[in-house]
Amino acid sequence: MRINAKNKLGLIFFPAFDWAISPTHPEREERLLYTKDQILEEGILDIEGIEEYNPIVASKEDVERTHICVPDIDSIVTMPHLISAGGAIKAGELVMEGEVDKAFAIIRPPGHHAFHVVHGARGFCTINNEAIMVEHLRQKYGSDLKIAFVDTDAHHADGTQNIYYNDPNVLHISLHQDGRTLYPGTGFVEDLGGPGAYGRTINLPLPPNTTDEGLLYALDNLILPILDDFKPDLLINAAGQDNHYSDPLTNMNISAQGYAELNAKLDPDLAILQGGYSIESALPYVNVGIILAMAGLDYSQIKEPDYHPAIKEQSPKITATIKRDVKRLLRAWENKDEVDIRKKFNCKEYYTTKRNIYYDTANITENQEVKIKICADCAGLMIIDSIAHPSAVGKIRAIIIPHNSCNQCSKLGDQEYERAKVGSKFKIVYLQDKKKDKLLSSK
Amino acid sequence: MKLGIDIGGTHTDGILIEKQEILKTTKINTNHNKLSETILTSCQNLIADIERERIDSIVLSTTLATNLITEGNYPKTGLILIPGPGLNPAYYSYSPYTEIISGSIDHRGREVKELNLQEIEDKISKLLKKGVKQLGICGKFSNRNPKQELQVKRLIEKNYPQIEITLGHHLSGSLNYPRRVATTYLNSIIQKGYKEFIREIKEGLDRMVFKKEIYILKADGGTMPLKESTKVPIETINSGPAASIMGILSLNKLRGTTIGLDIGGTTTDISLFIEGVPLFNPKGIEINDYRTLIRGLFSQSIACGGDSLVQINEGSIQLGPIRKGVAACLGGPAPTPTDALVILGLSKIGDKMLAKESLEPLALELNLSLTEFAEEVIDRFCKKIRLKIEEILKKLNSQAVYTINELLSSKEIEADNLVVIGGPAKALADRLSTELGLAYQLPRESKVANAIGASLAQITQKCTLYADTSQGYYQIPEFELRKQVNTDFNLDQAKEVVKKELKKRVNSEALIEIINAQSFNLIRGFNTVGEIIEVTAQIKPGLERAIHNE
Repeated sequence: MRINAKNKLGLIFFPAFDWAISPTHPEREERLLYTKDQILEEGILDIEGIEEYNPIVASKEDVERTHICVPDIDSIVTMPHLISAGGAIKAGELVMEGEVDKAFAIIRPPGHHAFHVVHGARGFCTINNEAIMVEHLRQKYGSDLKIAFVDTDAHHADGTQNIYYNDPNVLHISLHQDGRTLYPGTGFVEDLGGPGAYGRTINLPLPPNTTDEGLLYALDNLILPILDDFKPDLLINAAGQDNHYSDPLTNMNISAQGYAELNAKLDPDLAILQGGYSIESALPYVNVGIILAMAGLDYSQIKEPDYHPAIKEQSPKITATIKRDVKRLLRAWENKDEVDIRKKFNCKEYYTTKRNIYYDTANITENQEVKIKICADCAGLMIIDSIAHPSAVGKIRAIIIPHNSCNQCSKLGDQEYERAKVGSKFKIVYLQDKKKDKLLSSK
Repeated sequence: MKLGIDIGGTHTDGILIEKQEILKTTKINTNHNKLSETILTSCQNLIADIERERIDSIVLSTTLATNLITEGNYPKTGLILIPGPGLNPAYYSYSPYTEIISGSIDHRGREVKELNLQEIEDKISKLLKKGVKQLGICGKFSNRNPKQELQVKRLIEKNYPQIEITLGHHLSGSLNYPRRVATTYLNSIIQKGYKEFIREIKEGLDRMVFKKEIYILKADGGTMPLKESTKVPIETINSGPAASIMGILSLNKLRGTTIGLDIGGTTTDISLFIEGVPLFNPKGIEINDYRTLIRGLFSQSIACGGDSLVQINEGSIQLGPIRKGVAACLGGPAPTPTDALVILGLSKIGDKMLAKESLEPLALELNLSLTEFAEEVIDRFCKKIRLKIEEILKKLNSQAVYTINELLSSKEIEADNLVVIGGPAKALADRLSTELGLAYQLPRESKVANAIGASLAQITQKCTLYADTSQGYYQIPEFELRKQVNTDFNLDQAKEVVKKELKKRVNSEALIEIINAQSFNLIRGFNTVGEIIEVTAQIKPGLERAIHNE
């Protein structure tokens, strides 16, 4: 009479039925309504070993050890964001404390487009739920925890990638619809991480109309081998569901079966919902599929009402493109430690780069200048100069001391902070010391 | 004048109440083979010398449905399931005579795949050849659209009018397919036996020239007319604990959060009241390992009662879970907490010497004096109950919520006071009160609390309206009601409709309350194309008049 899950699964299901970005926005009250109905009707919550938990509210400290909010956290972050991030933290803690084997946070709004520096919302995300969770866990359980992200949202996980670009203990793999055809337009095979964590950023752009076949090929031939090699302590699936064949915002052809099989094979410790806006035709089935797969239960009969086998057919051209990129990335992974960083990044003491970041949700453009110290003893001090247009704040500087900072980089960070504070070049100067777990601001 | 009869595992209690006064009580042994006879005897005892006209109502609380399920000797009962895609139906193919048929309804009640009538005919005739005489039909999301269940029913009725049929959507408007299947199956299983029982009672009462409406107590602490109950006998499971909870309610004025303890021989049943309203089991009753959608009053048992076996296990005292018989002081075979109460002078029943003889060897084993040992037993007893209460409260306080408002505003439930009933209630109340740090009430008539609870219980009913204005309908599955509406139909109108429909069916002045009301704008593209509205209304369990008000 009882269904027993093989894996004890914690479910943080928080549909926030009383919150929307705006009344007709895809991130609205209705988004998880049908998922709730499907989960309840399938009797998922009666399965022995699947336990439901409420999110906690993430603290200001949790956000500030992850992000630099401009001008400050109170101007950017609201309660729904803190609860969504708190859902991710709750999931992470349940797993770390051994209360469950795995956890799935079905929370909204998503987080993976939120960068290290935050001026507002982009790609429906304001703060990065999964990064906030990881930073929370690293403070609590040690920064030497090895973390791996596999982001399967149709959009490039540019925010999470940005936060961990130069962090050698965090491997970030993103599979997404080719950036030449979809927001945010980034995430190409060549992006392999910063000088302090080269090769720990992996991007596999998938051609439009990729099906389960291509996704699972990449899983078997690229993701699983890399994970085997990296051996993470914690594996997180940033489980976006907009690769689905019915999604209104993308052009991919993944089915609920594909998502479930991916999770069964990937076997992540944590899954955190990202995007996915086919709220009636995809989300109810994809979420139930992922839950069953994570719990180690039979998901073979989960199907969308309009599913037909032709959806799985993939053109040979797509297959060839994926195979080619998988091969390239595997080679890059294997050779990552042989690379001469100074030569690769064409620099001596500092690697500097410029970029523009577009906030589609808040309609802001940000110009960033990033400077990373090339350091043999740690990931290297990072300095980000940023200005948003339009902005009431003006130019800011963020100085970031990494988790594994050497004494020299720590000292340098403190000096840079004092120096930047003095002049009038920057309206606000921030010092985020990941090692000491503190955020200072000149404001 | 009201008559209440509660059939318990051992005894059947009857009570006759006029206004707030107990006129008469009766206690007889329950004859499980002839429950109807037991009821009729109890009835006769109460009203032998009373004019029939003076009796306004009879309420029965019977273990029949529970017994039919727990005894497990089921008639061949078929299940026709329409699961569509989803969880593997093997997980909930509860009957050995289960047939899965094609067809499916989605979460918004849209027919996604039509039935295959030939397939159904084949599968039904296959079941009937195997000797199946009753069928449960249950579809996924049938509460959102019962069309396919009804189609199958019509098909069976046309060809096999003799077959008893239970439909899933009639039993509950709540979501949870495996539970709906279990509820449908169990209802189907007990329907025949239950009908037989009702017929006997009806005949017996007719012979007694009793003409008024007879009611039966349901798991939710409310009543329903006897005749109606034959369609949904499953509603009458667990009416024992429900009677006990309604009894507690009738005997005490409850304020704040109250823990109800009904201390029996084998178990102690724990119930909860908030401002005098009993709490419901959130998802539905569990019976014989089946999880159902039947709404029941919240009650949890702990295998620790007055007659629980006391033994020493690896140097420490163990209470229960087994019961070997009555307490040693009453001639029972083994030491019990009741014997400890006798030693401590807290109870005066039975023979103190026998209590002493049974406990002394155990005391010796632990190097304790007899009194010290008895104290330890009672301490352990109270502690066990405290831990269980803490566990229950912890679980209730961590119930999942789905809105930011609820997450931020939900208050922790904390116990404020205690009501204790049952055999050893008086002897244990002081100790329990100290252990729990709660003031207690000890009702005077606690021995017949269940029968009182039954006699005073009133009609309850719950139903859910689900509207999808973009598809242009609302429906209340429990009442088999489906109506067309346009996109102007809104939450306020929905509330009015539910109240009106509920009132129409229960014919009672009782207060109807809305317990859940939600609406979601359906946005497609950038336009609002309609609303999804869900409103649940209930007549909550209550008493016409409580004994304690006198």
